[in-house]
Amino acid sequence: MLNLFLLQTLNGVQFGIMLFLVAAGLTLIFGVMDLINLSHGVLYMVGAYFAATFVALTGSFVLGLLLALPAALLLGVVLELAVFRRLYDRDHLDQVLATFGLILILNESVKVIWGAAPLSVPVPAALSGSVELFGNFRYPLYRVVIIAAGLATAAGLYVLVNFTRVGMLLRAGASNAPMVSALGVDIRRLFTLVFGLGAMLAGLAGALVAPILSVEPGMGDSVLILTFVVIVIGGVGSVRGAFIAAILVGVVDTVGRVFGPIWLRAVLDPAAASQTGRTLAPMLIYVLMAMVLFFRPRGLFPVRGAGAAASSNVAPSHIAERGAPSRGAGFAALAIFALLASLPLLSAMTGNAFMLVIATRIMIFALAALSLDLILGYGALVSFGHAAFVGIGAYAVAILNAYGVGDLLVQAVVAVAAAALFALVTGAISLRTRGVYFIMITLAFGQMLYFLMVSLSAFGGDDGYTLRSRSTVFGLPLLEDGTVLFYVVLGVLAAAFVLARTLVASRFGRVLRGTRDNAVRMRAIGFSPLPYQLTAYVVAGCLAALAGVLLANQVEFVSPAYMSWQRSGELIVMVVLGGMGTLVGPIAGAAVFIMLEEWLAAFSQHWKLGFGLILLLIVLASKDGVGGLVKRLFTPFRAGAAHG
Amino acid sequence: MLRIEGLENAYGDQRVLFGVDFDVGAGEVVTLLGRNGMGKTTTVKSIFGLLPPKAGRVLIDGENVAGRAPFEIARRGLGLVPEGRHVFPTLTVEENLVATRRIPRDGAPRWTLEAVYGLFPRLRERRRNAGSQLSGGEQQMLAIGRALMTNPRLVVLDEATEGLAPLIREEIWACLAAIRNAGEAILVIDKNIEALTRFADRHVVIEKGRVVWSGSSDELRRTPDIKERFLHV
Repeated sequence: MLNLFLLQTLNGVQFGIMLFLVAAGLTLIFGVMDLINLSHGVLYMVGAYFAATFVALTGSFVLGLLLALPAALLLGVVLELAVFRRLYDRDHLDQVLATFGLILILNESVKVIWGAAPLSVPVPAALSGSVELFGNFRYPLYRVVIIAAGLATAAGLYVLVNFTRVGMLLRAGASNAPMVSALGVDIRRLFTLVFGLGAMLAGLAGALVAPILSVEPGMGDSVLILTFVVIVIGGVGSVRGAFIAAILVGVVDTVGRVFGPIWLRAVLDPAAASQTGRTLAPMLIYVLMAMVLFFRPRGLFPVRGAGAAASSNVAPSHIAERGAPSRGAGFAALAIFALLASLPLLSAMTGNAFMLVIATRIMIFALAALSLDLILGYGALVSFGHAAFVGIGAYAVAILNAYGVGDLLVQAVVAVAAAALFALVTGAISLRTRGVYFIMITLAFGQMLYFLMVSLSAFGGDDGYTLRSRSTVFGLPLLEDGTVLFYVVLGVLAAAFVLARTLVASRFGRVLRGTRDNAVRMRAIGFSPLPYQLTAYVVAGCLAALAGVLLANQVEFVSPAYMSWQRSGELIVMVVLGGMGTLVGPIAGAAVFIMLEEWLAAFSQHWKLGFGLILLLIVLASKDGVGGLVKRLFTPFRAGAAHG
Repeated sequence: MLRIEGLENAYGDQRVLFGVDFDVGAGEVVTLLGRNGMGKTTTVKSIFGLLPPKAGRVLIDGENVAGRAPFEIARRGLGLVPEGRHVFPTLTVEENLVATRRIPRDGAPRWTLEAVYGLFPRLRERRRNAGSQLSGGEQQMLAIGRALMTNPRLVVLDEATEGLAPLIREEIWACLAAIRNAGEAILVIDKNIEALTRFADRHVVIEKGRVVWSGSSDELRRTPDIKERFLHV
């Protein structure tokens, strides 16, 4: 038992050290350049692929590693010069969108170059086998080497950050980059250096774990999320914080997975204990993060001054329409809904049944995007976990369905209630934080739920679960007819639109918008923003859950993928593409997104590559942000609509 | 060495500077005077490229640097002591001084760690303390020392003694006099007219984003209505 505990603790430390290597670069990039780089995890993946390639080419692990590191460094520098340099002055939302696009591009590129099948890298012969650490306790030599290499790197970083001129400038830059520049230091060169270094460290982590994990596309995504957890717990910009948090997360996660069920046996019967343990263990670190942020909203080792960290997320340029819903937008909405209502007729006339399926799907995602717009567009709250609510709705249908409750209304009520509860709890915690911390904590809550669903083996776990049938309405299987389902979805979307529009135009909406534009002033004139923001968060969650209910019914299948962070990212893309703070925009955005997805998918299985490129180019091409681009594109139309 | 011509700037749609002109010669001490919100700090930010000018020229030794990156401007010999001091909170006092130190290309530095500690003995006592642990006066000394360590030819002080205790103020003024006597040019913003007229060669009064008066300390003393019209609250 003690040996098992030691073994798992060491595994946890080894895992933590990997996380640290990825997190060290990310926290510096975050801290010094105030850049949210979602694509940092991809560099870890690329490092593993570089190692796999070079090891195979040279036949030597050491040589392969020595080649992989400069290659990762080079990639980091190239990316900095080509992409990230243009993002420093942008707001966090643009950075999220651009680097989200970059993930799609790099993940797909890896698939194109190396294929989708996992690669494996042999453990070097000299490092295979295990060593006796003490007593009869043996531990794999390669993992010992990883821990040692990681600790050596950490020590090197510690010296670099604390005892060199470059380190001083990094720390100075993390708290006040413009001041460093005003004192005559070329901060851009420092940025390029940090980026290259960060890419190399992430690449090192990827290369080191290549022999013990399978090297596959997307391997960076899960690491990325854990890395975010690490740097948020540690305090953005603090390398020391990242180290401590990484080890903490690594050990808690690893030990929790193994010992959670064992310890739970003390209070539960064995079967229940192992089920509960498996369910709770993956959530542990997210609970840890939520707890840390609840008591210390800026992490364990805050670096920045309060002023710098409190900057708002969304520049005014993003808000396509600053005031109450305009009549122009209302007419646009009427036109869209009229067009939608006539679609079944059109579909019947042209004999194109697929059109109806796509339109239904578009409306479902439009509902989810519309709900996100309530908090993103009108509250400037960049929630990166909104897909979780869609998942709640979908799973409510699946679970009730499995227990013989097939009625749509009952399912909808349960889904909304569950979403409201989840939103209330997570919102109350998340809304204590600001800026990047809010983005990260909503992401973490989304992931928490994602892992909960993955652990639900009764509902297929990772593989998802196929529904026996669509929901019934008053006992009748009406929804089996695609046209009926279409009109139900249309009705729900229209009702949600009217509700959202009414809400936004009301006094409540004015307070929400006021808080978005200037929270300090709202407070000064006597409004506490929290109840308003929380209400908006709950309403948005409930509407998204309805989208989930409908989605489960349309595809008759649920899976944790519905609530993955990529899905949340896609929802943000829909809202921003269509125009934030317009309510009509997200509907259009969902339509464009899903049609683009269908269209690109028809061209090639690597459609995400094209999609990522489009996304990245849109962000880079519009100097005043995506919102500004959308605004410019639609200005003539808006002007006309306003006069009409 | 520094010449400002027709400088205009704005925060978004809000225009703040409407054509500011003045200059500072080598070794000269010039003040920027004016009430709050008249554009003094914006002028400083514009000079340093922290808020790139919308129009006008910023000439250093005859070369226009308007629109360049802040570090390029600073490297031409300007040292900034910003409003609010902005010492680096997670660096020690000594690191604050050393991190951005610059040694001029033409020979030995005038300002070394020893020279700065000689000017501000308090900083030597506190050299192992983090920037965040200093008092306001010590932070101001550190910000001045940090600017001197870049060996500038012109030190720009935005609010030299704002919010400091009277005794500390006197100490700062004494140190600034020492810096002037060492041959540095100084551009200083402060509210303490008495100290400034004793200390500076020339004065530039800014009102609503324009220069409305400039002249020597003697001329300022001889025209008391300048103070009445543009400086008194």
